[in-house]
Amino acid sequence: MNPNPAESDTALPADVAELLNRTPATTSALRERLARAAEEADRDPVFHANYLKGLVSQEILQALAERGETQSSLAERLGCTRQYLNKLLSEDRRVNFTLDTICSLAHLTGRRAHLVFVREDEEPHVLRCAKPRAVHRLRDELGSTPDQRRIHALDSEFEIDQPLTTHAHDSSCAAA
Amino acid sequence: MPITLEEIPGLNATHQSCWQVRALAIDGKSPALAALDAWASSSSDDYKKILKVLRMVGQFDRIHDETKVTKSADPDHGDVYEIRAHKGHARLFFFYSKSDESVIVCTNSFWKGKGSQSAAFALCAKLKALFLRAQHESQSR
Repeated sequence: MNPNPAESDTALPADVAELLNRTPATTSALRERLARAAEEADRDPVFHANYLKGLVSQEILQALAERGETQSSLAERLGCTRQYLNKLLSEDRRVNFTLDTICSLAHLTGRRAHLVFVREDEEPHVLRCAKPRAVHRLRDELGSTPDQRRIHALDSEFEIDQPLTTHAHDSSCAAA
Repeated sequence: MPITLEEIPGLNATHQSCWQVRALAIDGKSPALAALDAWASSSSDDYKKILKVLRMVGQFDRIHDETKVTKSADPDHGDVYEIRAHKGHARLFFFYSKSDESVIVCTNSFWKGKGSQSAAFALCAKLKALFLRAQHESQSR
Protein backbone atom coordinates (compact mmCIF):
# COMPACT_ATOMS: atom_id res chain seq x y z
CA MET A 1 0.00 0.00 0.00
CA ASN A 2 2.85 2.41 0.74
CA PRO A 3 5.85 1.74 -1.48
CA ASN A 4 6.54 5.48 -1.39
CA PRO A 5 5.05 7.15 1.68
CA ALA A 6 4.03 10.70 1.10
CA GLU A 7 6.15 13.35 2.74
CA SER A 8 4.77 16.54 4.13
CA ASP A 9 6.88 19.64 4.52
CA THR A 10 3.99 21.54 6.05
CA ALA A 11 4.25 22.48 9.72
CA LEU A 12 1.67 20.60 11.76
CA PRO A 13 -1.26 22.43 13.36
CA ALA A 14 -0.87 22.69 17.13
CA ASP A 15 -3.68 20.25 17.94
CA VAL A 16 -2.31 17.67 15.48
CA ALA A 17 1.17 18.01 16.99
CA GLU A 18 -0.30 17.62 20.48
CA LEU A 19 -2.22 14.51 19.37
CA LEU A 20 0.94 12.95 17.95
CA ASN A 21 2.90 13.80 21.10
CA ARG A 22 0.55 11.64 23.18
CA THR A 23 0.28 8.85 20.57
CA PRO A 24 2.62 5.89 21.06
CA ALA A 25 4.62 4.61 18.11
CA THR A 26 2.91 1.99 15.97
CA THR A 27 5.10 -0.99 16.79
CA SER A 28 4.90 -4.61 15.70
CA ALA A 29 3.89 -5.46 19.28
CA LEU A 30 0.88 -3.15 18.93
CA ARG A 31 -0.10 -4.78 15.65
CA GLU A 32 0.20 -8.24 17.20
CA ARG A 33 -2.01 -7.23 20.11
CA LEU A 34 -4.66 -5.98 17.73
CA ALA A 35 -4.44 -9.13 15.63
CA ARG A 36 -4.93 -11.29 18.75
CA ALA A 37 -7.83 -9.11 19.90
CA ALA A 38 -9.53 -9.58 16.53
CA GLU A 39 -8.93 -13.35 16.65
CA GLU A 40 -10.45 -13.47 20.12
CA ALA A 41 -13.49 -11.57 18.86
CA ASP A 42 -13.80 -14.05 16.00
CA ARG A 43 -14.00 -16.92 18.49
CA ASP A 44 -17.04 -15.28 20.11
CA PRO A 45 -20.25 -16.50 18.43
CA VAL A 46 -22.18 -13.56 19.93
CA PHE A 47 -19.81 -11.10 18.22
CA HIS A 48 -20.15 -12.92 14.93
CA ALA A 49 -23.95 -13.04 15.20
CA ASN A 50 -24.03 -9.28 15.85
CA TYR A 51 -21.82 -8.73 12.83
CA LEU A 52 -24.11 -10.81 10.59
CA LYS A 53 -27.17 -8.94 11.91
CA GLY A 54 -25.39 -5.71 10.99
CA LEU A 55 -24.84 -6.99 7.47
CA VAL A 56 -28.50 -8.02 7.10
CA SER A 57 -29.67 -4.65 8.39
CA GLN A 58 -27.33 -2.76 6.05
CA GLU A 59 -28.40 -4.82 3.03
CA ILE A 60 -32.10 -4.11 3.71
CA LEU A 61 -31.52 -0.41 4.42
CA GLN A 62 -29.46 -0.15 1.23
CA ALA A 63 -32.20 -1.89 -0.74
CA LEU A 64 -34.80 0.52 0.66
CA ALA A 65 -32.63 3.50 -0.29
CA GLU A 66 -32.15 2.17 -3.83
CA ARG A 67 -35.87 1.50 -4.22
CA GLY A 68 -36.90 4.81 -2.64
CA GLU A 69 -39.09 2.84 -0.25
CA THR A 70 -39.85 3.66 3.38
CA GLN A 71 -39.66 1.30 6.33
CA SER A 72 -43.40 1.82 6.79
CA SER A 73 -44.10 0.53 3.30
CA LEU A 74 -41.85 -2.46 3.74
CA ALA A 75 -43.37 -3.24 7.15
CA GLU A 76 -46.83 -3.22 5.60
CA ARG A 77 -45.73 -5.62 2.88
CA LEU A 78 -43.96 -7.81 5.43
CA GLY A 79 -47.10 -7.89 7.57
CA CYS A 80 -45.66 -6.33 10.69
CA THR A 81 -45.66 -2.94 12.38
CA ARG A 82 -43.20 -0.23 11.43
CA GLN A 83 -42.00 -0.23 15.03
CA TYR A 84 -41.18 -3.93 14.88
CA LEU A 85 -39.33 -3.59 11.59
CA ASN A 86 -37.42 -0.62 12.98
CA LYS A 87 -36.39 -2.70 15.99
CA LEU A 88 -35.13 -5.42 13.66
CA LEU A 89 -33.20 -3.05 11.44
CA SER A 90 -31.70 -1.21 14.41
CA GLU A 91 -30.67 -4.56 15.91
CA ASP A 92 -32.71 -4.04 19.04
CA ARG A 93 -31.87 -6.87 21.42
CA ARG A 94 -35.53 -7.40 22.23
CA VAL A 95 -36.11 -8.84 18.74
CA ASN A 96 -34.12 -11.12 16.48
CA PHE A 97 -33.93 -12.05 12.83
CA THR A 98 -35.16 -15.51 11.91
CA LEU A 99 -34.12 -17.12 8.68
CA ASP A 100 -37.74 -16.82 7.57
CA THR A 101 -37.71 -13.08 8.20
CA ILE A 102 -34.36 -12.61 6.48
CA CYS A 103 -35.57 -14.43 3.38
CA SER A 104 -38.87 -12.54 3.37
CA LEU A 105 -37.11 -9.19 3.68
CA ALA A 106 -34.71 -10.13 0.92
CA HIS A 107 -37.54 -11.25 -1.36
CA LEU A 108 -39.60 -8.12 -0.70
CA THR A 109 -36.62 -5.92 -1.58
CA GLY A 110 -35.73 -7.73 -4.79
CA ARG A 111 -32.88 -9.77 -3.35
CA ARG A 112 -32.06 -13.28 -2.24
CA ALA A 113 -30.11 -14.18 0.89
CA HIS A 114 -27.32 -16.75 0.75
CA LEU A 115 -25.81 -18.68 3.64
CA VAL A 116 -22.30 -20.12 3.59
CA PHE A 117 -20.61 -22.21 6.27
CA VAL A 118 -16.82 -22.21 6.31
CA ARG A 119 -14.25 -23.97 8.44
CA GLU A 120 -12.38 -21.96 11.06
CA ASP A 121 -9.31 -21.66 8.84
CA GLU A 122 -11.30 -20.59 5.78
CA GLU A 123 -12.78 -17.33 4.53
CA PRO A 124 -15.81 -17.05 2.25
CA HIS A 125 -15.48 -15.12 -0.97
CA VAL A 126 -18.69 -14.31 -2.78
CA LEU A 127 -18.74 -13.95 -6.53
CA ARG A 128 -21.80 -12.22 -7.93
CA CYS A 129 -22.49 -12.95 -11.54
CA ALA A 130 -25.38 -13.20 -13.95
CA LYS A 131 -27.76 -16.06 -13.37
CA PRO A 132 -26.84 -19.16 -15.38
CA ARG A 133 -29.09 -19.79 -18.36
CA ALA A 134 -29.71 -23.21 -19.87
CA VAL A 135 -27.47 -23.79 -22.89
CA HIS A 136 -30.31 -25.07 -25.04
CA ARG A 137 -32.25 -21.83 -24.48
CA LEU A 138 -29.23 -19.78 -25.50
CA ARG A 139 -28.81 -21.80 -28.66
CA ASP A 140 -32.50 -21.49 -29.54
CA GLU A 141 -32.33 -17.73 -29.08
CA LEU A 142 -29.11 -17.26 -31.01
CA GLY A 143 -29.80 -19.95 -33.59
CA SER A 144 -26.15 -20.81 -34.07
CA THR A 145 -23.80 -23.70 -33.52
CA PRO A 146 -21.47 -23.87 -30.52
CA ASP A 147 -18.60 -21.97 -32.19
CA GLN A 148 -16.85 -18.97 -30.76
CA ARG A 149 -19.35 -16.06 -30.73
CA ARG A 150 -20.42 -12.98 -28.83
CA ILE A 151 -23.22 -13.43 -26.30
CA HIS A 152 -24.95 -10.53 -24.60
CA ALA A 153 -26.17 -11.61 -21.17
CA LEU A 154 -29.63 -10.30 -20.37
CA ASP A 155 -28.99 -9.80 -16.68
CA SER A 156 -25.74 -7.91 -16.96
CA GLU A 157 -23.90 -5.73 -19.41
CA PHE A 158 -20.75 -7.77 -19.92
CA GLU A 159 -19.97 -9.64 -23.08
CA ILE A 160 -18.27 -13.00 -23.23
CA ASP A 161 -16.41 -14.23 -26.22
CA GLN A 162 -15.62 -17.89 -25.83
CA PRO A 163 -16.91 -21.25 -27.01
CA LEU A 164 -20.16 -22.33 -25.44
CA THR A 165 -19.74 -25.34 -23.19
CA THR A 166 -22.36 -27.58 -21.68
CA HIS A 167 -22.06 -25.45 -18.52
CA ALA A 168 -23.40 -21.98 -19.25
CA HIS A 169 -22.91 -21.16 -15.57
CA ASP A 170 -19.13 -21.58 -15.96
CA SER A 171 -19.08 -19.32 -19.01
CA SER A 172 -21.02 -16.48 -17.44
CA CYS A 173 -19.15 -16.61 -14.14
CA ALA A 174 -15.76 -16.77 -15.88
CA ALA A 175 -16.67 -13.62 -17.78
CA ALA A 176 -17.59 -11.87 -14.52
CA MET B 1 7.55 13.90 8.04
CA PRO B 2 6.31 10.71 6.38
CA ILE B 3 2.56 10.17 6.15
CA THR B 4 1.58 6.56 5.56
CA LEU B 5 -1.51 4.36 5.49
CA GLU B 6 -1.29 1.34 7.76
CA GLU B 7 -3.27 -1.87 7.55
CA ILE B 8 -5.66 -2.48 10.41
CA PRO B 9 -5.24 -5.93 12.02
CA GLY B 10 -8.51 -7.86 12.05
CA LEU B 11 -9.65 -6.81 8.58
CA ASN B 12 -9.25 -9.20 5.66
CA ALA B 13 -10.05 -9.04 1.96
CA THR B 14 -13.72 -9.91 2.55
CA HIS B 15 -14.09 -6.85 4.77
CA GLN B 16 -12.51 -4.61 2.13
CA SER B 17 -14.35 -5.66 -1.00
CA CYS B 18 -15.49 -2.10 -1.80
CA TRP B 19 -13.01 0.12 0.08
CA GLN B 20 -9.59 -0.61 1.51
CA VAL B 21 -9.67 0.37 5.16
CA ARG B 22 -6.49 1.91 6.54
CA ALA B 23 -5.20 3.91 9.49
CA LEU B 24 -3.36 7.17 8.91
CA ALA B 25 0.12 7.34 10.45
CA ILE B 26 2.37 10.39 10.72
CA ASP B 27 6.03 9.78 11.44
CA GLY B 28 5.32 6.21 12.54
CA LYS B 29 2.43 7.07 14.85
CA SER B 30 -1.19 6.18 14.16
CA PRO B 31 -3.73 7.66 16.58
CA ALA B 32 -6.41 5.34 15.18
CA LEU B 33 -4.40 2.16 15.75
CA ALA B 34 -3.35 3.40 19.19
CA ALA B 35 -7.00 3.95 20.11
CA LEU B 36 -8.02 0.50 18.89
CA ASP B 37 -5.18 -1.00 20.90
CA ALA B 38 -6.24 0.86 24.04
CA TRP B 39 -9.89 -0.13 23.63
CA ALA B 40 -9.00 -3.78 22.94
CA SER B 41 -7.24 -4.01 26.29
CA SER B 42 -9.45 -1.77 28.45
CA SER B 43 -12.91 -1.70 26.83
CA SER B 44 -13.50 -4.97 25.06
CA ASP B 45 -17.19 -4.28 24.37
CA ASP B 46 -16.43 -0.96 22.71
CA TYR B 47 -13.55 -2.46 20.74
CA LYS B 48 -15.82 -5.21 19.38
CA LYS B 49 -18.53 -2.71 18.44
CA ILE B 50 -16.00 -0.59 16.55
CA LEU B 51 -14.45 -3.68 14.92
CA LYS B 52 -17.89 -4.81 13.76
CA VAL B 53 -18.50 -1.52 11.95
CA LEU B 54 -14.92 -1.36 10.63
CA ARG B 55 -15.58 -4.71 9.00
CA MET B 56 -18.77 -3.35 7.44
CA VAL B 57 -17.70 0.04 6.09
CA GLY B 58 -15.26 -1.52 3.64
CA GLN B 59 -17.97 -3.69 2.08
CA PHE B 60 -20.50 -1.01 1.12
CA ASP B 61 -20.45 2.28 -0.71
CA ARG B 62 -22.06 3.92 2.30
CA ILE B 63 -23.43 2.73 5.65
CA HIS B 64 -27.07 3.77 6.05
CA ASP B 65 -27.47 3.24 9.79
CA GLU B 66 -26.58 6.40 11.69
CA THR B 67 -26.11 4.43 14.89
CA LYS B 68 -23.06 2.92 13.16
CA VAL B 69 -21.68 5.74 10.99
CA THR B 70 -22.46 9.46 11.25
CA LYS B 71 -21.25 12.33 9.11
CA SER B 72 -20.22 15.55 10.78
CA ALA B 73 -23.12 18.01 10.80
CA ASP B 74 -20.70 20.96 10.63
CA PRO B 75 -20.21 21.99 6.98
CA ASP B 76 -16.81 23.49 7.90
CA HIS B 77 -15.54 19.99 8.61
CA GLY B 78 -16.27 18.75 5.12
CA ASP B 79 -16.87 15.08 4.46
CA VAL B 80 -15.62 13.44 7.63
CA TYR B 81 -17.34 10.64 9.49
CA GLU B 82 -17.36 8.81 12.77
CA ILE B 83 -17.74 5.10 13.46
CA ARG B 84 -19.76 4.69 16.61
CA ALA B 85 -19.78 1.99 19.24
CA HIS B 86 -23.58 1.95 19.51
CA LYS B 87 -24.60 2.47 23.16
CA GLY B 88 -20.90 2.62 23.96
CA HIS B 89 -18.36 5.42 24.30
CA ALA B 90 -15.77 4.78 21.59
CA ARG B 91 -15.78 6.78 18.36
CA LEU B 92 -13.34 6.39 15.46
CA PHE B 93 -13.13 9.10 12.80
CA PHE B 94 -12.44 8.62 9.10
CA PHE B 95 -12.81 9.99 5.60
CA TYR B 96 -13.25 8.45 2.17
CA SER B 97 -10.42 8.87 -0.35
CA LYS B 98 -10.88 8.09 -4.02
CA SER B 99 -7.69 8.90 -5.89
CA ASP B 100 -5.72 5.97 -7.26
CA GLU B 101 -7.55 3.56 -4.98
CA SER B 102 -10.75 3.64 -2.96
CA VAL B 103 -9.60 3.94 0.63
CA ILE B 104 -11.28 4.63 3.95
CA VAL B 105 -8.70 6.45 6.08
CA CYS B 106 -9.15 6.23 9.85
CA THR B 107 -7.56 9.18 11.60
CA ASN B 108 -8.33 9.78 15.25
CA SER B 109 -10.61 8.77 18.06
CA PHE B 110 -12.90 10.13 20.73
CA TRP B 111 -14.29 8.79 23.99
CA LYS B 112 -17.83 10.04 24.60
CA GLY B 113 -17.87 12.22 27.69
CA LYS B 114 -14.18 13.15 27.44
CA GLY B 115 -13.64 16.26 25.40
CA SER B 116 -15.51 17.67 22.43
CA GLN B 117 -16.93 15.58 19.59
CA SER B 118 -16.87 18.65 17.35
CA ALA B 119 -13.16 19.15 18.07
CA ALA B 120 -12.55 15.49 17.21
CA PHE B 121 -14.36 15.94 13.89
CA ALA B 122 -12.30 19.10 13.27
CA LEU B 123 -9.12 17.16 14.00
CA CYS B 124 -10.15 14.51 11.48
CA ALA B 125 -10.69 17.25 8.90
CA LYS B 126 -7.18 18.62 9.56
CA LEU B 127 -5.62 15.18 9.28
CA LYS B 128 -7.52 14.65 6.04
CA ALA B 129 -6.16 17.95 4.69
CA LEU B 130 -2.61 16.94 5.67
CA PHE B 131 -2.99 13.58 3.95
CA LEU B 132 -4.39 15.08 0.74
CA ARG B 133 -1.70 17.78 0.65
CA ALA B 134 1.06 15.22 1.16
CA GLN B 135 -0.47 12.96 -1.48
CA HIS B 136 -0.61 15.86 -3.92
CA GLU B 137 3.00 16.87 -3.20
CA SER B 138 4.09 13.26 -3.64
CA GLN B 139 2.35 12.97 -7.01
CA SER B 140 3.84 16.28 -8.16
CA ARG B 141 7.42 15.09 -7.61
